[in-house]
Amino acid sequence: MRLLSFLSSIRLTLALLSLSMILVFFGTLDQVDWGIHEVQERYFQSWIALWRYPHYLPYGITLRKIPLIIPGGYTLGLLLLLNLICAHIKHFKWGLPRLGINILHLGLILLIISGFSTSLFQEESQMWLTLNKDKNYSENFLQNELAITKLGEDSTDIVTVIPFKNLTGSRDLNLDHIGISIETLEKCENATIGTLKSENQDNKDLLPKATQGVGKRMNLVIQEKPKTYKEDEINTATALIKLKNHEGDIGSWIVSNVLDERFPPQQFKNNGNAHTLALRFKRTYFPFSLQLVHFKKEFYPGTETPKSFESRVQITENGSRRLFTISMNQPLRYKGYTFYQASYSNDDEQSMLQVVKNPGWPLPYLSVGMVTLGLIGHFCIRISKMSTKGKR
Amino acid sequence: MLRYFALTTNSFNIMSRKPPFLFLIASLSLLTGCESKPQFEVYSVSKEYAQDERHKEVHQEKIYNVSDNALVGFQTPSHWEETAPGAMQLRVFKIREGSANAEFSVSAFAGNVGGLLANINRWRQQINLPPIPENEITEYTKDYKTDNYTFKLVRLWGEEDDSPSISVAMVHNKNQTWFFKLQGPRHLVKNERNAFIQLIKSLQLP
Repeated sequence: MRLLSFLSSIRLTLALLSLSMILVFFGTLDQVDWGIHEVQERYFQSWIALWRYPHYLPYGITLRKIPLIIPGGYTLGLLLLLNLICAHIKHFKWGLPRLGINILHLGLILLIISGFSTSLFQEESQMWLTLNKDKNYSENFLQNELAITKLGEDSTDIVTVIPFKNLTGSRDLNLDHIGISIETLEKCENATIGTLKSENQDNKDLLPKATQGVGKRMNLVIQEKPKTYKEDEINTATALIKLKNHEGDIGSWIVSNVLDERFPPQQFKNNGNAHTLALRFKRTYFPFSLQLVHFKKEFYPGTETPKSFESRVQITENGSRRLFTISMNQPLRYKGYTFYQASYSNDDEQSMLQVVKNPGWPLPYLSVGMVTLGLIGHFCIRISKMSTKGKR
Repeated sequence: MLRYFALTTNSFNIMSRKPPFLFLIASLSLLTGCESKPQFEVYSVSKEYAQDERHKEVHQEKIYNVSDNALVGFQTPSHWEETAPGAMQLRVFKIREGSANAEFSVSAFAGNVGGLLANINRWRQQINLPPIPENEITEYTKDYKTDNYTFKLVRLWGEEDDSPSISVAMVHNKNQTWFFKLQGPRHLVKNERNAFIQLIKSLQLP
C-alpha cells in the first residue's frame, strides 16, 4: 500500500518531470560533441545517462573524471508510466464527472507507450531515387553490414548480410549455407585507408595485410581513427576479414564502406560458385519498387532557398503500377512505410526520400486525440456543472 | 522474398522453463528490446535492380572526407600540395608558381559520362572557348599508352600565355571512367606537362 502511495504521488510526478528537464538539458549540451543520433541513444534510449564535464572548460581534465549520473529516458518513461497507472488505480472513479479526466489519463498512458514503441521498433533509412530507374531498397547511412552475395545463374542472387557489430574477433562466424566461415582480424568503426608509404615500410602495424582483392592489389593499409559524430560526416567502417572453407583459408580481404559501387566488386570463388564481398550501408528491401518519374523544385523569388520540392514516383508491385506525389509536408504512406521528401541532387535527376517504418505510428495520433477529447470533455462537464450551480 | 534467420540463442530452451520465468523474459524483452537478434540474415534479390549510384559522388563530399583518397595510387611531384577535394572529386592538388595557381584533380564516374565530345565541350566552356564539332576531336586529343592503361589525352590551350587551359587524361577501367585533370594558366599547365605524364605512368587504379 505504501508502495502504491509512493508510486501514485504527485511528488514523484514532479520529481520525474524535473529529472526529464535535467536529462533534456544535459543531452542538449552533449549534442554539440556527440551529435543528435548518439545523444538519442546515450540519453533517451538508455536506462542511465552519464554526463561528463567538458574538458575544454576550467578544471575540465580533473572534473570530467567524475560523471554526473542521470536517469535515462527509459527509466523516466517507465516510472512516469507506473506513476500514471498507479495514480489512476488509486483515484479512479466511475461516473460522468470523471469521464474527461479518465480519457485524458488513458491518452497520456498511451502516449508514453507509443514513445517506447517508437524507440524500440521504429526503423529509419534513406532512399536515393534516380529519374526513370526502379529501386527496391533504402539504406541507413549510420549502420553498416557485410554482404556476401552468391551470384546466381538465373535472375536472382542470394545475399547473406551480417551486421557490422556482429563481426568480432572473439570467434568465427559460420555461414554453413554457403560453406564458409568468417574470422575478423581487424575492425575499425572509422578508419583511413591508404597505400603503403615508403617511410612506413619498417613499421609492422602499417604493412598491408590483405592477401586478396583490392587490398592486396593496391597494398592498402588500414589506420584506425576516432569515430566522428558530426552530422555531415559518415564513419568509414572498415575490417580485415579472413574467409575459410572446409579445405582451409581462402584468403583475407579489406572490406570498407568506402569501397562502394564506384569500385569494382571484390570477388571470390567457393565450391565453384562466384561470390562478391562488400561492406555497405545497411539496406532494407521492400516487396515493391519505386521509380522517380518527375522531380520539381521551386525557389523563393530571387534566392536559392528552396520553397518546395516534390517527387512524382511510380510504385510497381506484382505487375501493377500506381503514381504518387511526395512533397515536403506530404509524405507517402505505403505498406507500413512512410516516405518523406528529404533532399535532391544532380540537376533534378535524383531525389532522396527519408523512409520510416514504425509499426506503432497510429499510437501518437490516437493518444493526442484522446488527450484532446478528454480535455474538451472535462471542460464541457465543468462548464455544465458551473452553469447548473449558477442557476440554483 | 526468401528470408530466414540464424539466432544466437536457442528459443526452445527458454520455452521449456517455468511460465513465470517466460513471462519475466518476455517483459524484460519488451522493455529493453533485448530479444534474440539474428547473427546474420539471408535473402534473395533480383538482379534487375542494378543502381545508378551517382549520388554517392555528391554524398562523398560529406561522407568520406579524405579517407578514400589514397585508393587511387600515383606519384606526384613534391611541390604539388594536396588539399581537401570538392564535390565529385577524389583527390585535389594545388600547384603554385609565383602568383599563378593551377589545380590537379581526380574524379571517377560510372559509364562513359556523356561521351568524349560532350566532355571536351564542357571543359572548353570552363575556359571560355567555343564548342567544337565531332570531326575536330582529333585535333585536341591523342591516345597515350602506359604499361598498365591506355589514356585519352585532351589538351585545350587558351590563346594567351596566362589564359586558362586544361590538360586531361581519361581512362576507362572496369565500367568506370577516371579523369585526371590539370587546369590553370597556359604557361603553368605546360610547365607541369612532364610531371603530369610521369603521374599517369605511375597510376594504379583499384
